[in-house]
Amino acid sequence: MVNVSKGVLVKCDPAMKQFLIHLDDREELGRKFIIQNIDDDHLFISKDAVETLKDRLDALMDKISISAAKDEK
Amino acid sequence: MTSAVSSTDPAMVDHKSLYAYLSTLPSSLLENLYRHPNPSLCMAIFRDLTPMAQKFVLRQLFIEQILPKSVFTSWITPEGKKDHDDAVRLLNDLKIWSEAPSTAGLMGWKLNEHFRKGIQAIVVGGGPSWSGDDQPTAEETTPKDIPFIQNYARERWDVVLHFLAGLSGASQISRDTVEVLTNAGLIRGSNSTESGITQNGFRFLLMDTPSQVWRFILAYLHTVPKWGMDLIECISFIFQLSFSQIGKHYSTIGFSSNQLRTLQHFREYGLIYMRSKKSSRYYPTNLVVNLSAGAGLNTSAFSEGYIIVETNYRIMVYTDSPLKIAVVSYFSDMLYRFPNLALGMITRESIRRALMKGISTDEIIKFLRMHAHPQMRENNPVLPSTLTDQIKLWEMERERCVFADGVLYNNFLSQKDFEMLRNYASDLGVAMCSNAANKVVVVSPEGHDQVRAFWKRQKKE
Amino acid sequence: MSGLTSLGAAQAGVSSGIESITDLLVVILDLNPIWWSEQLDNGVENGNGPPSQQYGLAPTLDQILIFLNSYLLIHPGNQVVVLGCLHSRSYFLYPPELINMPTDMPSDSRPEAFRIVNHTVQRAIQHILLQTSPDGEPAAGGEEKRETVFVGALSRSLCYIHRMQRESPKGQFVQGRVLVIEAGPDSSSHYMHFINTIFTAQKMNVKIDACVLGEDSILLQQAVDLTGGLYVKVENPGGVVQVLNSVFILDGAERSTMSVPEKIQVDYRAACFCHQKLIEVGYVCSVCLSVFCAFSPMCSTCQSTFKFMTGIKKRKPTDPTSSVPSPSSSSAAVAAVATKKARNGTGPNSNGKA
Repeated sequence: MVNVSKGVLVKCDPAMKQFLIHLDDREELGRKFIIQNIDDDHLFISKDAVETLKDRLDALMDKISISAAKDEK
Repeated sequence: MTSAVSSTDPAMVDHKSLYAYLSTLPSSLLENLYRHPNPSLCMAIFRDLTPMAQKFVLRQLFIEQILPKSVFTSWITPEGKKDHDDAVRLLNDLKIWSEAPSTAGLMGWKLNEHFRKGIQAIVVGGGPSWSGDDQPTAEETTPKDIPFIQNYARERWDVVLHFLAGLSGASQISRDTVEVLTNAGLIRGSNSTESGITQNGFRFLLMDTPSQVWRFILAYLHTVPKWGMDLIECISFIFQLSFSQIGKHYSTIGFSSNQLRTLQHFREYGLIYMRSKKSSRYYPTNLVVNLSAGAGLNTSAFSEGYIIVETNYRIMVYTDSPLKIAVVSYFSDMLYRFPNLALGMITRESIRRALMKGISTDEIIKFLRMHAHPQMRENNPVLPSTLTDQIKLWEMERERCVFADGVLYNNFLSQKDFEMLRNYASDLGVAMCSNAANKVVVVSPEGHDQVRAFWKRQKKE
Repeated sequence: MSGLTSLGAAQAGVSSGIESITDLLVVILDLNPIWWSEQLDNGVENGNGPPSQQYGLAPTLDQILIFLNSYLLIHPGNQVVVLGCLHSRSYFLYPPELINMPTDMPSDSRPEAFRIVNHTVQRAIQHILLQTSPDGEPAAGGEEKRETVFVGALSRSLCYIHRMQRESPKGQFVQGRVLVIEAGPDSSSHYMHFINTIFTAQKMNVKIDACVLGEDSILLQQAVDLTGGLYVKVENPGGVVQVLNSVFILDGAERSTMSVPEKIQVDYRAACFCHQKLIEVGYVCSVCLSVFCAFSPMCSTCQSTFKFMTGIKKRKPTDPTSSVPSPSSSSAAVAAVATKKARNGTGPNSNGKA
């Protein structure tokens, strides 16, 4: 029986995809949100996880970026 | 991580050229354009045509008969084929050309007679003058000189920009102006809960002055019908102004009430100068002259640059105008302020802030190049490539993950079923993604109903 | 994420920092009064011929002004400079050097900028023609007076273009080209200067176009061929404006998209240094490569002497006094003066048919 599910298609690079799978495995968002792993660049996830996911991604990018040192007096 | 929301308001659609604006007008209005005896409009439209279209018109200008289409195609080489097709389409859209049979019976292109007369009047001369009498009268015993006019224009235009940036109150400008700005989508209307500048308003402030004036005039033209004024008359008058000369003054005798009203509006924006409201002479300023030429001729701006950007992401703004500093602070973190200098840094946070406001990195980079200090222009490229590349990288960071709603079809029983569904969906153009190994198809929500109905039909067989 | 460093460059446009290109067109008008008055006389003789079949300075000037207006109309950044050449002197007609810019022009349907150009050119031509009346000139050199010398105007226009390029603000590039409208016949004096000017134009990337009203001009054909311009000989005096507006209004890039008149066979015969005559076979000095039509014992350019070759003597191998010329002394050599074309490899017809 063919399964039909509504959700959100995510297109990203393979590195980011691995990060999403990592979040999913650890259930860091509280639950598993990946519905289907389509291919190297695409994932299908549930819609209610999108906002939290964006926040987590922003946090990740903030963590790994270096800001220029400002003058401290 | 959302991309900028672009307004669908026609006033803010990117009218890069006069053609783009004119093509939004209904065709009945276009027919009327050329009936107006004023050749300034023909000149503005002609200048806006593509080079190939201009050459076609020039070759036809003095030939009375209708030339068959094959003549035009014989004039181009194979490399010019695309230009030829574009030109044909452009001239037809603007109603300059119409199809008509030539003397030999073949279909040809006929040049609009009024347009032809307008262009002939421009290059041959001998017709009636454009503006009224432009001889000095006794009233103007001490005519104003060009620096004064330019100063006046800059002051008045700055007042409008100050209001837009929220640096001054609404008492500084007239209600009509507020209406124009609201219609252009640059500020929020008074009936909405929050007031102030919009996303498009930010982008407006980052543009160069000729583009700003052009956008503003377009918004003005959109508001004109609401005030009950004649649009065609207004357009012709604006182009007549744009072909005047700076430093000369012209008479207002014989102007209709609409034209006088437009004149008063433009006096407020700094597009023209008049000694007083009742004065009968006006001076066009540098803002309105060469209007349709756009930013191409803005060579004086090269020497007025005031921004220096370094490879360590520090930005130095050599000015004391609060407007300029406010605009730069949209995408940078200001650190220090001195009497003639403001120092800031372009950081990841400041760029992200700008991106979330709806400003794109292209606009930021264009703005920096435009206002670069003359000393920066010695460099090649003008802005350090580390800086421009990093700004673009920060933008790309936000686009790393793209989210789109969709519907997933999986768990197919056989390969054949999967392929049938996938082919149907991609023929419709609604298949967003599919994978043959896992036998999954993702369909867009708009196409979902059709695909599901198709699948149900297939299941029954 | 390939080509990151090209991210900025793509935005900046051309990598060398050029932000805008303005076109500068220099028009050189031939004001040869003898040729123009001859045209009027021919018209009077023909009498019954239609007026459009005859040239006159005033109507042709009108057509040229229409062409200038069309050129200025095309793009607001286009600039135009007009020179006139008369009696081997050249004058700037626009921007004017002999008169002031007119301020009291009647207004008509032309934009003010166009009117200024038109009136200035007309007034300047009037001024020049009235000043240099034919009675004042000495009667000697009647044949030369009939010919048009425009090499002075050509070099002045190149200097002007160069000056504009230097004075333009940073980031703006001035692209110049020259259009020569020649009426009278060529003069082969100053051939050296002419060739030097053409090579300068080649170096500066300035195209020289030629619109010829009278007879074919070999000099202009060479100039056009070497700089990559266009050459058109106008048959019908009434059709000058149509030729100008169709062919010469195209700038460099557009010439590849619109069909232009074909390249012509150019007569590349050199002119001899002693008489300025065009020759096919002559003598060439092996030191400085100057060309002579007749033998002379000394080269006039480099002052090197030539040994007189009296025919090959039968030499005895042991004769120490044989007059074998040593390699260091110069010698005249008879050479065919069929010079190769400077640009492509095909040689001209040896008859020099243009």
